[in-house]
Amino acid sequence: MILGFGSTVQKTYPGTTFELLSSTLDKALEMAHLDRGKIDGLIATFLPGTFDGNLALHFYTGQLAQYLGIRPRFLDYVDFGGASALAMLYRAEKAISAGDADNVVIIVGGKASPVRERKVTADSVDRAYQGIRLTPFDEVFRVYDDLNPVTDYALVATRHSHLFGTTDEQRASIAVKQRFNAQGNPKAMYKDPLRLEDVLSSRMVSTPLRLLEIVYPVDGFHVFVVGKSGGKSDLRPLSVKYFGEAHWPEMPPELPDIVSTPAVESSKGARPLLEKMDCFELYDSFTITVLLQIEDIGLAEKGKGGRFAQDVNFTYQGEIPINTGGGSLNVGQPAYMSGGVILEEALIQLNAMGEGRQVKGVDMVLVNGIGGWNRAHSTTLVLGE
Amino acid sequence: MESFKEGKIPYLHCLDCGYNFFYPRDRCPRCHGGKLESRLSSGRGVIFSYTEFQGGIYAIVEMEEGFRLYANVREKVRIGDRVVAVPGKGRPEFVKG
Ligand SMILES: [Zn+2]
Repeated sequence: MILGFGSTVQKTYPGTTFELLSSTLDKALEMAHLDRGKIDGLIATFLPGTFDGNLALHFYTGQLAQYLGIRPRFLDYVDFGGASALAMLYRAEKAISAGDADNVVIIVGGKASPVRERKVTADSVDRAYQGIRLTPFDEVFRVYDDLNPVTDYALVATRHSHLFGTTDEQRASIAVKQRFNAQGNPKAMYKDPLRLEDVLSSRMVSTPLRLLEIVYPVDGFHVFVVGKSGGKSDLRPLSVKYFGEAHWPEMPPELPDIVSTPAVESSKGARPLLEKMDCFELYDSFTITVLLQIEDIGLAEKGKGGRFAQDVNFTYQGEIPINTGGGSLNVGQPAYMSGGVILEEALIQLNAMGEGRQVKGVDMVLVNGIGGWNRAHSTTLVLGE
Repeated sequence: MESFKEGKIPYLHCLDCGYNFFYPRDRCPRCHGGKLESRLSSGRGVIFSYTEFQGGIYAIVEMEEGFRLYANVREKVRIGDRVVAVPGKGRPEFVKG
């Protein structure tokens, strides 16, 4: 079960990435009523440039354990980008039930500001660092002067509008409703009320995606502590009710179409449970990402996500609450991965810690993560008692 | 890949199942057959999707041989517009045509 969690998210963290991580781990351990000596498992993820600007750390999980003073019996590394956090939780539960570890810490995040200052994203670090290749065939794949992942999702949004008549207003209403939720979240970076016109008049970044439809990369970590029930934790004894993952490794041009994500497959087994969900935390790197998942997990038919976004009150006060804390569109995206943001919000809702944006009587939450270069990965998690 | 620098688009043709694909692999991604032939595209295609941003316009282009690729486009386009590859900065770029 999840014994504790903690996060630190800020625009620019002045100290080292290790310091940022270490203090976040302490918050999570404090909630779990555990000390570092009891941790014997660690799972982490990493994106290039997000650890003190290093493009890579040699044996990342080992270095983390060394710095944090953890002697692991169990180490794992998950590289599904934004879909990692949920896969890590599932793997931690499996490791514990198999007896491979007693208490596992899950680490997601980093310090994104060194990459941000170079005006690239983690998916385009080759544009800012010398001698970097991202694929074995960069000459033919990296032919465009892209702004991945913004331009990649922009292609999806263009095509979605072409096929289904999805409008800019429909996507913008996702940003507006999530901002409404963010107003009740003390951790949100953006809390001013937002109107449709504000989103539509914000700067165009990559047609049709505008500035207020895109996450802001920030510094931060989310740490989750998973262990056996029966400890001193005050949290509800939550467990994974469903987990699905799916990976579409093809380059998007080779997919039958680009308007679906692997969430179609990862969420398949959760379909019978949809009616029982008290809220949904959906990966929100962009407004279009949320729209795609609304369709792909089955809240709306393919092509009808735009209408859903416009018509359904999905604020924390509505009938189908989505991204109840405002999501990463308002909290910021630590180290170019939002998985920690949505998982933490699910735990907050399930433990009635939602202060100004608590949904009443939350017993079951569906969390869906999308990640990887060109949205190659999806993980779907249902949490409940 | 010399042809690519000259603005031509090479692709791989599977002699077992006939599938055409662009991103290099030594097996056919559809039938896993290994009998592949390198061919040159006519350069003609249509816009599958596009986006315009500070650096220009880029798109997914569907070539008439059936494969799709990411590419730079030199002028404003819409989905479905016919385009043709021309020599660009060390790689093909597309113009309407
Ligand atoms: Zn074949």
